[in-house]
Amino acid sequence: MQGLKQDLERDIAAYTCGETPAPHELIGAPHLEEWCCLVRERGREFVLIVSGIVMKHPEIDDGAIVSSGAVVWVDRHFRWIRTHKRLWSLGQQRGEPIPLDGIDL
Amino acid sequence: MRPTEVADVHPALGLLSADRWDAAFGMMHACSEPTIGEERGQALLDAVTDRSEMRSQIRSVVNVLYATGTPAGGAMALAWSMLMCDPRKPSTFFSVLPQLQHELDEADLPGEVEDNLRLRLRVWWRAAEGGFTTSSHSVFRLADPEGECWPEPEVTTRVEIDMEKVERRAPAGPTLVVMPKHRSSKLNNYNLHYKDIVDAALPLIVVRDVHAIRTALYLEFPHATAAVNALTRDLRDGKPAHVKPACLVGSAGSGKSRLVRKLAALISLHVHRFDGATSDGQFSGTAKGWSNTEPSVPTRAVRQSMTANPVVMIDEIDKATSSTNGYLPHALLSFTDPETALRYRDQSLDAELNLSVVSYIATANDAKLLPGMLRDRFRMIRMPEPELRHLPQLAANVMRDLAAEDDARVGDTPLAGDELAVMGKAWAKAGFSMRKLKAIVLATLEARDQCQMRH
Repeated sequence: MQGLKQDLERDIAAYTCGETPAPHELIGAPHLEEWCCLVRERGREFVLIVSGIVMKHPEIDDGAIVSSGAVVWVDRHFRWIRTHKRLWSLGQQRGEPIPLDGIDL
Repeated sequence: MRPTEVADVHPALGLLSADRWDAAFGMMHACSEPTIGEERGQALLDAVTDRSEMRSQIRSVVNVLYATGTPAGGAMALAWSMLMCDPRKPSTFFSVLPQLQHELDEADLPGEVEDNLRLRLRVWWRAAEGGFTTSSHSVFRLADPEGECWPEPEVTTRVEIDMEKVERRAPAGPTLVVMPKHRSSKLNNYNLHYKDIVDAALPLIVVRDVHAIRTALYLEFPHATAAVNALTRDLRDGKPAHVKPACLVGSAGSGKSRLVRKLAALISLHVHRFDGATSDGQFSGTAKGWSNTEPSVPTRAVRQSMTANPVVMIDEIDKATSSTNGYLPHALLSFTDPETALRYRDQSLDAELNLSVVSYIATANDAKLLPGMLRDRFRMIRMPEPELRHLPQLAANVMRDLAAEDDARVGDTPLAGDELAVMGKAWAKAGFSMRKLKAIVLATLEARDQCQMRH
């Protein structure tokens, strides 16, 4: 538990200095596709969670729709998020599919 | 702690206390110019009129600040990102709020400052939830508690309705606030449980069918029809039950207490019994200053029943004696006076209570022992002793009560003529007491059980 907290503090300090997770970290991290951000109330406070189709999660089968824990840091380009427990990499954001004839080129 | 001092802890937290977007922009521009250079600073100022240009300028400033690779640069970058949050586009908050919340959770701020910032940050979260997509204000202005567009808490927060409380506060029938808040002082630790009746609209128990009540009582007390009539004289159909102070006078065992209990049960009134013979001057409670302070008996009855019109039954009122703690008839004077009872000041709760619909029914063996002041205030009702001719009805009542108490007695055949004749002789010897009658009936039934033919 103490280790998790220390890891989080170290990562947050690194992100504050403009660093991003190393490529091998991102490749090893669980991945969310078709994700969306949700705001949830926890007591009097709010948290952000990210829900999507999971891949490469150590405890969950691929393809399940899951929600992350409370997010502590969101990459400003939405490529990854950091929760209290672990790093997640993000794929395509969920959105309305664009119909074939829906765009004018 | 001023906003500038909060900004020393973390610029983003300092920015959280800004009341307007312009003020926030000014604050950030002033403190980051040394880092980002004069050229970029000027470009930001030039973009003030163009919203999309401003966004791209801020984005490049954020990139530059993160590229410095210092914690101070990153902190300022987070603060600059806050300026890009737009309540009309909730997604603009997602990459800012988790970091901001984490900084606030970890920051060591004075309680008052932290509470203020948390209050404002909750509005930011509401905006991220999509609560202000139609607002034309910046999130800084929305989060300003003194801003004109402070969101209505009723609209934005979910209110959980405590149905139990609603039902208690708004019963269907007539109600009465016995203990209005504006006439009461703060409750002390010993009387905390009385907070339930403060400002609570307590139900008034209504009389449903006086005729049926009287008929039931005639059957139960065939010897005391006059007393039943006198006692139920004040009751009216559809009106809250209230009996003017009355005192049932009769010999021991004539069923005085039982009549009061039966009447209250038929109307569903709560009965609070107070023993006049053994209780000392505790009727009007003990003063607030004492550690064992207790409100008056009628107040306790109201609290226990959670109704505004309980019955206070004072048993054996003629046995009350004067002591240093007070004298029961004196204490009763203020409760039985309609004017005083309307605004009775309870010395323990230190509150004015409306006890005007509490009924006081006393019982006594000898009216001569009662002081004159009580005889004036209480209507004296004579409770006659039963006679031999009432035996069949009374014995049948006792059998019904025994059946209710003991399942084995259900289905007992009614008492035969010869049995009643034997019982009559025994009862006459016992002085026609109702209490003795029960023992006699029980003995008769047991004798019958023993003599029963076994198959």
